[in-house]
Amino acid sequence: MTRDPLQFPLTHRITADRQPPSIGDYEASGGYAAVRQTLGKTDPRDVTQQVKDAKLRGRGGAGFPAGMKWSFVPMDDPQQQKYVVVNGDEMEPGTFKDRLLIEGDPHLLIEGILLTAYAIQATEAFIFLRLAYHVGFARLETAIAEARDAGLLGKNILGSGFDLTIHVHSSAGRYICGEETALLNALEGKRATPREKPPFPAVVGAWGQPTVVNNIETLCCVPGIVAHGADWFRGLGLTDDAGTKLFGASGRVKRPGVWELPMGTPVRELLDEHAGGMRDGYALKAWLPGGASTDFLTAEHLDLPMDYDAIGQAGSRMGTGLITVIDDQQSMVSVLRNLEHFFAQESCGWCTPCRDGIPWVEKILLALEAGQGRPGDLEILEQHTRLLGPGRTFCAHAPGAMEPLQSALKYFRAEFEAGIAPPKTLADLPKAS
Amino acid sequence: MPKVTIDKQDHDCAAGKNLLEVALSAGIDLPYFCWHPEMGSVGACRQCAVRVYKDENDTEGRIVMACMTAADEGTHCSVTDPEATEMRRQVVEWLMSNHPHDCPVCEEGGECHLQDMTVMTGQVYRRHRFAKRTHRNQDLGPFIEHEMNRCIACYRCTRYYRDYAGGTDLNVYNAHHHVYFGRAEDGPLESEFAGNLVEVCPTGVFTDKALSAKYNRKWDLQSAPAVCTHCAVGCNTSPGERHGQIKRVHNRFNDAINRYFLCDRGRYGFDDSNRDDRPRAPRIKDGEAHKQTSAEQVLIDARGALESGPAIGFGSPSASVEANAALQALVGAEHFYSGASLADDALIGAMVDALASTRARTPELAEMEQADAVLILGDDPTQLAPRIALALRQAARNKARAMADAQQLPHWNELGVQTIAQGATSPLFIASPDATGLDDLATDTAQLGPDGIVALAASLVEERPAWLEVLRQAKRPLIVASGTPGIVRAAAALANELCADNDAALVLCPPEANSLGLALLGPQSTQAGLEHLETGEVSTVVVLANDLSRRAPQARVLAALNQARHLIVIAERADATSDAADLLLPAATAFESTGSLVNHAGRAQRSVQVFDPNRPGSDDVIRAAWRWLAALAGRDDWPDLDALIERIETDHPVFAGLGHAALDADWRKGNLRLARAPHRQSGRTAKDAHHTVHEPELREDTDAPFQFSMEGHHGQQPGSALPFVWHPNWSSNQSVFKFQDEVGGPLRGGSGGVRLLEHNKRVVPAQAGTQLSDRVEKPEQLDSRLRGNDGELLLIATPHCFGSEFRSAASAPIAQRAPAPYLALNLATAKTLGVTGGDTVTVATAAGEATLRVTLRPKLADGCAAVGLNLGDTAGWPLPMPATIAKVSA
Repeated sequence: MTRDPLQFPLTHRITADRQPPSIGDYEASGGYAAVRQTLGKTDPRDVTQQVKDAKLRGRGGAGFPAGMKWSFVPMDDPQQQKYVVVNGDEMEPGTFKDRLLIEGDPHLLIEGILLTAYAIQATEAFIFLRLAYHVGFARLETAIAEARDAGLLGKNILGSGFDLTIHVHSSAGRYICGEETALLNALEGKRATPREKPPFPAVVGAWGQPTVVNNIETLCCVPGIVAHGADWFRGLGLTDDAGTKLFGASGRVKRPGVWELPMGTPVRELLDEHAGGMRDGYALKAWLPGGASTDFLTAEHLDLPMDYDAIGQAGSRMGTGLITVIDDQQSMVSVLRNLEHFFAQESCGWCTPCRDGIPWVEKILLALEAGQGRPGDLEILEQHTRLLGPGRTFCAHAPGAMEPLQSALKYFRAEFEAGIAPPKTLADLPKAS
Repeated sequence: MPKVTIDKQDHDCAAGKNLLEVALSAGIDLPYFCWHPEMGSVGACRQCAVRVYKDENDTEGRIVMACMTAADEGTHCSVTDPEATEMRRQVVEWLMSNHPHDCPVCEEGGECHLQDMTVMTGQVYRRHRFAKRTHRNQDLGPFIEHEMNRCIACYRCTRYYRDYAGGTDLNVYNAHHHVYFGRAEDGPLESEFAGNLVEVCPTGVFTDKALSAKYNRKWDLQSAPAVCTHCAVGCNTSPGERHGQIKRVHNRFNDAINRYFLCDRGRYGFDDSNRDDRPRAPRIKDGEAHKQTSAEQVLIDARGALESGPAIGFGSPSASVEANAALQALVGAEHFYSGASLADDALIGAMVDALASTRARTPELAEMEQADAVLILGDDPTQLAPRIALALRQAARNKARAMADAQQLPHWNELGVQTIAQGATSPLFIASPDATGLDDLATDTAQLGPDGIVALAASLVEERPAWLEVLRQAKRPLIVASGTPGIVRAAAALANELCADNDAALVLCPPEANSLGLALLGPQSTQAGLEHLETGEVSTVVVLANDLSRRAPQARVLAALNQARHLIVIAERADATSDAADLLLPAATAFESTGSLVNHAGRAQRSVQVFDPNRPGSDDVIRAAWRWLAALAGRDDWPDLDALIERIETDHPVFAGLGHAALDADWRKGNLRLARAPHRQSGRTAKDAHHTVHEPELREDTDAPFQFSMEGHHGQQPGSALPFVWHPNWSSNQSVFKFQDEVGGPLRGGSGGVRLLEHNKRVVPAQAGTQLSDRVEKPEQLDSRLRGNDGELLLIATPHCFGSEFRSAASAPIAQRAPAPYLALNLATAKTLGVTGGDTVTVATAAGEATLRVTLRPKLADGCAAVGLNLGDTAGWPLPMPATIAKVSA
């Protein structure tokens, strides 16, 4: 606990052995101060305004401004039941940041939930947790019990008149549950298929009530903002994007991991300094900025700052901010086959393009990988990257699945072409259209 | 009225529609799968892609799903846009990547929405060269075949079965491209409305098992605009015939009644008409047996019998107005008895009185769906008149729609409405002798015997003040009543009372398809008829298409009939009454003759003959019952049905307008009759080649403007005169929208039928109700007597969707679903009697004695025991009545 809370608001309490601080240690290092200064003393709307001013953007991948999301919650009826739902479904391939937060400092999330719930006057919160996060689950349960015993959860918290109960819900384990409306359906015990929007969850969410759904890391940013102010938070970013962010790297780098760094940290610094550069004998070929559903970038993009706008302008998305590194000894066809298998399996099966399109893509990739591709296969793949685009499918799952494919075809087309067997029989010939 | 521009053409549309609805209503062929006019939009199939522009100056636009896009004022969109067209073609190619392409052996072929959409999108070449996913199929019972490999995962089946019809045992399992639509395990689909899956499924996953048993291609069927005869709702049907057999019954759209859906009794009850043992030629008693005779001879004998002395007739609440009226004319009003069961006479008598005097609306199905609070008094509608229960399920969803209105969400956005409503439903209260199929929706229920229900309804303000308050606060409350005369009277009084506060409605459920039509003719009661017979004064009795031995205790009926010297039976089927006949005249079934039925709300509808039952090259002499009766009466003033109808309108002012219920027989389109079979029909000269190789002479239909042929007019014709629906590019039942001005709206030219009681209420014969009901002991009097009579229980009859209605009970698929005869007791009563489930007991009543197996029904009202209505030996007992129950020792 030697790190500066003002510089590392998310991770300053997280130790090398990742044992979480007790509630006493947490409070001793400034924890729950934001709650004590806010509950019953500040207008809930001011908390929302503060988060808006801090320009906190959602850390789950889409980067939607959190304060704005909260401000959609109708506040006119104080009797109306509202909910905070924490998206802890972290199933994005190559992403493991939320796990660090709940295992290393569960009280930080609880404090973030408390402030968010206060801001929208929700009296119940649900942490929807990935099935595999059983260590995090146990630590959250312990921390919640500690907070309850300390009067920080339950009825009339700190004499403020504000009530909050937090439930931890262990998911049955589907990638689509990371989509906030599919998550709500799953939470309600229904099939995990996304909902139609509108109505938006902020107005009609869990059990039909106004609900704010935020990612774990997003909520962990809130205590710092409330304690130290919006200006401080905005000042943390190196670019226009505010705050610090958990960045990471996986693949054949020397030190794969996750680090809290200022928003806008250059990719080269992230990979060379923090991840230690490529392992000996391997060279960087491509990288996914933040999860399997983002477009590939290449070595020429390494000087970009990691923020939402810069990565977006380069033709990708920052996504979760945890980089997946592809090296020069990996086949892009195999990488894509692996990714598209994942997306095909994780489709909820609701809409046609996603349910039947991605398996076809996977089968073509399998054929290309085996050298059994046919002329026309790449055109079919390219057609899918267009026809599984946004607006054509029910939710963002299939468009996300097409992002790595379209960029891989753009940068590494020759590798795909190499999988096409020369025509042998008439049947192999493409049909004239 | 918003104006929407589609491909530079302006279209005015109703407010609150989506672009798919607007495009279809404008006659544009925009493909779709998951959307359904009755079930709204969910955006699952992604088939109806169009390009929508911000305004007229926007040239880029974006691809959206028409079904999920509101048709707001000034919307500009393009259906013909190349990218939208490419998307629609691609969706079909994706669906085809797993579809087995087994059209040549698929029973849906030729009536398949997937085939239509495939052609419409131009998807003609399959690039997918990889293995397809396969599934295991399930046995879903006697109604429906399951072939999951054909599934295109549009989710219509589960949305219909679960969200619309309230079923629970069909679901979607697994995920991604392995989604599976079926049951948790093999077994009959439990819903009373499962058969609609056959029409809801856009391809051949759910097909008609009854049709499959004697399959022919759907374009080879001959059809007519018919009306269901299996309850009093009057759903419109399109039966299909080939080779002299009814092969299937499909829904026929009627915007006021059944719209898109039937119940399974109506869909699968037809097979009774196909029975091999039905009489097909006239017979005459010869000693103990019958011998075949000619039509001429049997008529000579019958006329002789009628002249031999006093003659009486028993009508039938399942036979047409025309047949009953012809019998009444033959024997005279004084000697015309209803032929309904003793209990039903009393019930329908009370219903006629109530309908003639009520101030409340008397809605049919579509109007029932508008109710915002419902009170059910009496039997379970799910079992009595199932389609009413399905309508009440939709009424319950009005709460969800109101909640959606508050969020400015259009009703077609089905997923959004469901998200907002979270299962919230409009108030529904049920007072019934037992649990009902609508209990899952009920706000509150009470299980009471008939007298308890009367007491509750008569003083709701004291018994259930909360219920009354909700009904008073509602804008369009609805009371549904059935069971006993007392319940009907109490319900009618309550509805009248509510009319002071709001636009209240009253729905009465008469027992049979033409109970009301028969009652309006003013027949005497069956009880009076039996008494008349028992005097021994009657020389000849004529029974109209009715097994009288099931209408009252059988021994009494057969003994009474035996008192007459001559028993003339006009019979559709072989039964105990036809067996006893001295003269037997084979009658056409409802599918084989044209006639009118009056439904529960007083709507007279014409059911048109589907086919000629007389087989080429046979001795068959099957005629419409009214034709036999006209011949017996020597009436040459009734050469055809229209003449008979005119006579009925003259004799019975309450039937004024009956002639307008359907097109006259001489109606023509240009100079053409309407074809009963599609122009795609095959084998016109070959199908009867095993009898004759000559082209059969076309039999003229003097009763309806239709031809027994593929020849005649096809295409736009009045909605009431659509034997089937078909339109170029739309071979499936989805084509019904081509006959509507607005998709989901009324058929062009109307659906036909005349609401008799709306116009002729004042001329309902004053005695019509009382002469039916006054000879029967009131169950509420029975109950009070019972209270002082230890050891006796009130025996009531519980209706069953499958088994309680005579015609459908004889249909093979329905018979498989009918319960075995039973005696139901609640747990406390069973304990008192010292019996348990499976035990055998004797049930003794004034009507007779029966031996039955005990079944336990936890919610059955105290003081009651129940048998299945019309099941086994207790059929004909005038229930409710007191009964003594004793265990049979092993």
